[in-house]
Amino acid sequence: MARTWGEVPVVLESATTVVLARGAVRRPGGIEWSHGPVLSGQAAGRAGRDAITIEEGEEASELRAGASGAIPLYVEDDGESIVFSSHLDALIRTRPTAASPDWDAVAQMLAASGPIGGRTMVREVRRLQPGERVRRSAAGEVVSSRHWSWPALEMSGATVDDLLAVFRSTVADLARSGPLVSMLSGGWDSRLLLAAAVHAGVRHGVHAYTTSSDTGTVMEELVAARVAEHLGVPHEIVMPRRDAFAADLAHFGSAVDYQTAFHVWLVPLVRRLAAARTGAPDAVAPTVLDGLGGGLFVGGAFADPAPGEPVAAQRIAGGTRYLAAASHVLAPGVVERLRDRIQADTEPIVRRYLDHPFGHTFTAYLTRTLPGISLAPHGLVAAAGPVATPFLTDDLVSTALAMSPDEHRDGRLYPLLTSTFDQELGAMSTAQDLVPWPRPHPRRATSREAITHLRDLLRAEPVRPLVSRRLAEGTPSDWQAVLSTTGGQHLVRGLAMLSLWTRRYEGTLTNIDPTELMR
Amino acid sequence: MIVSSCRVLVLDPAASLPAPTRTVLVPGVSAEGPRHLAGPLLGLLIDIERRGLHTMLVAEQPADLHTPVAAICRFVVAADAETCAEARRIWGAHHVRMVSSTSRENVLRAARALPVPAARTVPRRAQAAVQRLRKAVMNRASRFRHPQEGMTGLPDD
Repeated sequence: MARTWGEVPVVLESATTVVLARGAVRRPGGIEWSHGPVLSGQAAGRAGRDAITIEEGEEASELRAGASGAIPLYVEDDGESIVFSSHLDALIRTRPTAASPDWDAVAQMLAASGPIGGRTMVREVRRLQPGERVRRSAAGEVVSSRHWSWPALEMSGATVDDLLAVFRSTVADLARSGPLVSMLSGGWDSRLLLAAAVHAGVRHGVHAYTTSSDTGTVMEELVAARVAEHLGVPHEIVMPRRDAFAADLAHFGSAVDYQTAFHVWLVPLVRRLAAARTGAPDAVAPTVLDGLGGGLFVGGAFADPAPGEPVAAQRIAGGTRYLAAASHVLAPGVVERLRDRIQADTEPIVRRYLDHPFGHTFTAYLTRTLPGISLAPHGLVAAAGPVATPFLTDDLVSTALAMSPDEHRDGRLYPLLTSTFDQELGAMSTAQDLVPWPRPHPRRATSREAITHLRDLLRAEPVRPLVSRRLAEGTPSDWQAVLSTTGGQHLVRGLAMLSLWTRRYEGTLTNIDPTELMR
Repeated sequence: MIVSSCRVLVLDPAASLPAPTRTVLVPGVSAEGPRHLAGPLLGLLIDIERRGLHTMLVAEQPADLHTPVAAICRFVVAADAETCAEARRIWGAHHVRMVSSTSRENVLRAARALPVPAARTVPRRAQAAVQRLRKAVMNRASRFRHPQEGMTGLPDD
């Protein structure tokens, strides 16, 4: 039986290096790190996996991260050895001395996407960044360097057909590997993935699931049902329960090591997937198709708005968009401190890619996708079974970046690509096209059940001083008003996550006092 | 479409949706209501959602609560205590109405007592009318240049 460390299996252990991971397989020359299905040969490189290599010599050992960096890998140098782990919690709880909070990272989790630039919620542990190499000499010196290939790629006139060929082949490999699960929303990414899978011939079967993203409309569910019906794919709507809100929040926090508050709404679907897999042998566990990265590398999302304000300022401000609602949620003085802590780590990234034709893409990828969104598939969903992220394969991203940014603009590639699989599907409206205003459905987070739990979390020490008096003492209607806005809900969820985190690590971390965020 | 009241209707995929509608009643499967989101029903439900109207599931028993159609309803009305309790756990207490029986009168009374859907409030309707007018002006200008454009698309209500 494999040795474990903090309940995570040890996959490599030498005099200087320890690697702990779920989802990692030891191979000659390194470790293959994937949350996807087991594929062989050339297909293995296209299935949404990060190949992490470890070279061990007499003078030094070096670990090289994959290009996407989407599968989290945490690094800790404890002086005697360097430890890599797929789970932050395992490193925090097995340290010989107590770790301490990284308040910049906490601020970024609370009000942005998640810890930026390789930070984690604790100062002693980093998250490996895309293309990063960590070298430890025999003398114990640890040096980290960046060798990220994606920004170095040059536009070489790749065409839509080139992109389509790579995409088609990536999804076909997955469709051949075993049964698939589509997390079908009303948007383009999941539709495109499902259409490609059906086109490839899902000989092992495919099942689509949709849940509410809690944005105040059921249009996502309705459009997803229309897509599934059109493709003849069995489809199930998983309805979130108001009485499970507290449990869902706790489940999500634990699954993502409390590093983001973005995708709590996905928990009911993950519970349903886990239930469907109970008793099924691992060999037939279906692989979840996740659209991570599709919006950025295919859809051209987060493009710079119209000329006016300088590009750098716009991109930096993008990182603090949720703070627009902060005066209703946070105590005086907290907003500016949070903004400073977010911008201090966002600005170097913005400057680094300012003149790159895909600068907006890399900025959003490093400040939003990786810190927060990547933890939905690779933290939450991966805990329930295999998950693949075809839009982040090296081949697909390389081809997408070899096209001009204009070809990606405003999501124009989506209908083009989708139409090649199914003309009617390419012309079908998305939920975004049809979404009504004002949003007709109450969000789950605005239910009395959710408000009761959120109030308990936010009014408890040590988080309470960060919350505005108006909200802390507010009526359920005041809370409903705040939680009905995207920014307000994001900040409240972030504070709730912080509250859960302080409870989880009380007595484990030193100086766990969030009023540090007011200084 | 069975017109039950000028503003409350019973779901009928074969019929159109009159403009004054505020709430659409959705019978549960035990009363031979729809189970699956498919066919013309999907188009009608998308139209209802676009207009921001209320949907109210009439649930006779717990099984009525666990269908794809039930999952997209905003309110639930029920008489059975067990059904009501389960509905409250799923939808939240605020979105479940308990009645003494699911008679036509009781259900209509519960539906009429719902708040006006935000999309049907006077300020929002006035705003929608201005938007439609603006769109019509733009369409007319655009049709002058491109005769094929501006001919499709449904008004908000």
